[in-house]
Amino acid sequence: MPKVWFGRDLVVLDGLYKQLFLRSKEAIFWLVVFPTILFLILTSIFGNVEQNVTVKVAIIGESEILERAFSGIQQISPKFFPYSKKEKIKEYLKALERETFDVLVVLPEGFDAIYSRALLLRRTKFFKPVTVEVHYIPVRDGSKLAFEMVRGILDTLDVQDRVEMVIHNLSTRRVDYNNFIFPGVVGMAWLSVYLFGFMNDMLWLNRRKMIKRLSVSPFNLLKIYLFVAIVNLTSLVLGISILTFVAWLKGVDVVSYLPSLIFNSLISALVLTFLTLAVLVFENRSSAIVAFEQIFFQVQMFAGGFYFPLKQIPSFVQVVARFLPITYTVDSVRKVMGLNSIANNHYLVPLVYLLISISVVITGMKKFHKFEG
Amino acid sequence: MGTLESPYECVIFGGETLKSTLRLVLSFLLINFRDRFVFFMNIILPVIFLILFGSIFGKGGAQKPTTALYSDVNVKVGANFVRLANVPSKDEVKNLKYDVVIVAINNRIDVYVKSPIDLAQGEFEFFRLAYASAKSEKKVVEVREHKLNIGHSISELKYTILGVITISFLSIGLNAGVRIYSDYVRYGLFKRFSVTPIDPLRLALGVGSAQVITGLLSSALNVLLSLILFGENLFVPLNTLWAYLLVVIAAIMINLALGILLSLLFKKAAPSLSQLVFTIFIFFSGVYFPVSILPSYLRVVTYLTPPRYVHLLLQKIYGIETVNWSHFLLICIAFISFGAMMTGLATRKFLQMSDTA
Repeated sequence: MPKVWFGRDLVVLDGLYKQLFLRSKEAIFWLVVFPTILFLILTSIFGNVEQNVTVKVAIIGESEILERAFSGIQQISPKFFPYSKKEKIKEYLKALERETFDVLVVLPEGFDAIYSRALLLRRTKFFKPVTVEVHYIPVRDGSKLAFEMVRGILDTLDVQDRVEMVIHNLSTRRVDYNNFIFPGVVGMAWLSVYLFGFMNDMLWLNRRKMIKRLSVSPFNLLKIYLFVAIVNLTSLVLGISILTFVAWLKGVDVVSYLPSLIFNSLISALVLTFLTLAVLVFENRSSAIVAFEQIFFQVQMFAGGFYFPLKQIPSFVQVVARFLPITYTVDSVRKVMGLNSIANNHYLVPLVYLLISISVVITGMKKFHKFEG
Repeated sequence: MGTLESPYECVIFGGETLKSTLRLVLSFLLINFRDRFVFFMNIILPVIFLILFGSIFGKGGAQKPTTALYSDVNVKVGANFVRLANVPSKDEVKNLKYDVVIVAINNRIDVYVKSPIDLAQGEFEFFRLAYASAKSEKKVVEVREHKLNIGHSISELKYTILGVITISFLSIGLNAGVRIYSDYVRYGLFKRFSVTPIDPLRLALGVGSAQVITGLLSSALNVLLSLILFGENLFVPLNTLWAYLLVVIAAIMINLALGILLSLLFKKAAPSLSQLVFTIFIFFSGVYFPVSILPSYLRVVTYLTPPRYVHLLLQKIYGIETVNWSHFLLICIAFISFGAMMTGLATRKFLQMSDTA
C-alpha cells in the first residue's frame, strides 16, 4: 500500500510541476529570470554612482595651475577654451542653460602670471586678489554642486597641498553596492515566488475546482498544498541559483553569503507559505488577493530596506519596516558581511508571523478546504 | 438607443449617439474602478508610492546623519553631518553609531570609515576642499559668482510627487492598452461589439476618454494628498490648467499606445511584458532617481521612455524651464496623435477581425 501511495503522489507532483511551472512561461520569467534582470538593473544604476556623477566645467582662458588642480579630482571633467572665445560668452551661457556643461569659469587673461604675482605679494599692502567669474544655475542641483566644487578649488589653490587627508578603514572588509543589493534582490525573489507564485497557484487550483475534486478522493489535501509549495520552492531555488551565479560574475562574495542565504531562504519560505495560506483562509476572491499581493509586495520591497540601508530611511518608514517579516530575514543575510541595520532579534518578528499564521491555518482549515464555495 | 442607418454614418456628438458614447466612456471608466488589479495599480499604488517617497523626501523625514565631524574651524557641511563637541578618542570613534567619523585638526584630516560599504570618496575630497577653504585666512582668488536665472526651483519632494503622478499615468495607459487590446480581445469583447452598430472611432474615443478621466482623478487625488500629508501645494493655477489637461491627455494617450503596441506584438505575453516595461521605466526614466547617476550609455535609454518626457512636461507647468513652450506643444501633439492613431487602428482591426470571424 505505501508504494501505491508513493506512486500516486509522484504522479500528482509531476502533473503540478508541469502545469504550474514548466508550461507557464510567465512563472519561468517572473520567478526565475526576473530577479536576475532586476539585479542587473539596480547594479547598473547604483553600482557606480560615484564614477557616473562627474561635473562638467567649461573654463575660458588658459591656466596650467588650474589644470593641475582639476586633474587631482576625479569628479570634475574640465574643458579649457582659449581666452579669445570670451567674446562669445553669450553662446557659452546658452550652452550652460542647455546643460552642455554644469558651470562656466571665465579666467582673466594671463591667469597664471597674475595669480603668481598675487601669491608673492600676499603679505604686502600691494596685494590684490585675482578675480575669477563663475557662472552657474542655482536651481539645478548639478550646477550648484559644480559651483561649490569649483569655488572650493579656487579658494584653496594655495593651501590645498598643505591639508593632509588620511583615510582609516575600520571595517575588516570592503564591499561595494553589488554586495549590498544582492540580499535585497533575493528578498524580492522570495516575495515573488510566494505571493505571485504559490498564492496564485492556490487560486488557480481553486478556480479549476481541483481542491473540491481532491477533497472527495482519498488523496490527503495537505499533500497538495505541500506539493504546490515544493513546485514553487523549485522555482525559488532555480531563480536564486541563476541570480547567485550572475552576482558572482559581478564580484559579489556569494561564498560568504551562502550559508546565511540558504538558512534565511528556508525561514522566509516557511513564513511566507503559512502567511499566504492564512490570507487565503480569510479571502478567496482573486481580485482581492491580487490587491493584497501587490500591496504587501510593494510596501515590503520599498519600505523594507531591500535597496537602501534601513538605518538611512526616515523613522516613519522604519517603523513600518519593523512590522514586516522579510525585513528581518534580508537584514539577517546581510549580517555576515556586517551590512545589517538591525542589531539583533532577527527572528522574533518572523516567528510571531509564523505562529499566528499557523494558528489561523489550523483553525481555519475547514473553511480553507471549502474555500471555493 | 436610436437606430442608425449605417454604423459608419453616425455623428459622434449628436443626440442619441452622444448618449451612447457617454455610456461607453462610463462603462470603460467603471472597469477601471471595478477591476481590483487595475484599481490598485491606477489609484492605490500611486498613493502608496506618494506616502513612501513623500516620507523619505518630505519635511518629517529629513536625511539621517551618517557622518560625525569634529573640526578646529567652522566648515560648511551638508545635512548628513553631525558635529561633535570634542575630539573623540579611538574607542569613542568605534562606538559612535555613524558610518564615518571625521576629525580635522591642524591641517590634518583623519577619516575613520566604519561602514564596510565603499562610500563615495568624492565626499571626503569635497570636505578637504571645504576645510582648506575655511582655513585660508586671506584668499588669493576672489570668486565672483553669477547666478543664471532660468525660472524658479522645485523641491525634491515636489519632483518626487510629480514623478508619482507620471508613473500613475504610465500605469493607467499601459494597463488599459494591455487589458482591452489583449485580455478583453481573448474574452470576446470586440466580438460582442462587432454585432452592434458601433463604429471604431466611437469605441476608441470611449476607451481613450475613460483613461483620461481616470488619469485626472488619480492625479487630483495625489495632489490633494500631497497638500494634506506633506503641505506641498501642487494645485495648478487656472491660467495653466489647459496645459495640465493637455499633459494628462498626452501622457495617457502615449502610454495607451505603448500598451496597444505590446498587445499587438506579444498577444498573450503582453500582460507580463507590460509589468516588465513598467518596472524598467520606473528605474530608467529619471522620475524617482536623477538621470545624472546613470552611466552615460544608459542615459540614452531615458530618452526612449515616455515618462521622462511626461515628467519634464509636468515640471514645465509648475514653472520649471525644462522645455520651451513650442517644444511642450510639439511633444503633446505628437503623443496625442500617436496614441489616437494606435487606438483607432487597433480598435478597427479587432472589430473587423471579430466581424469576419
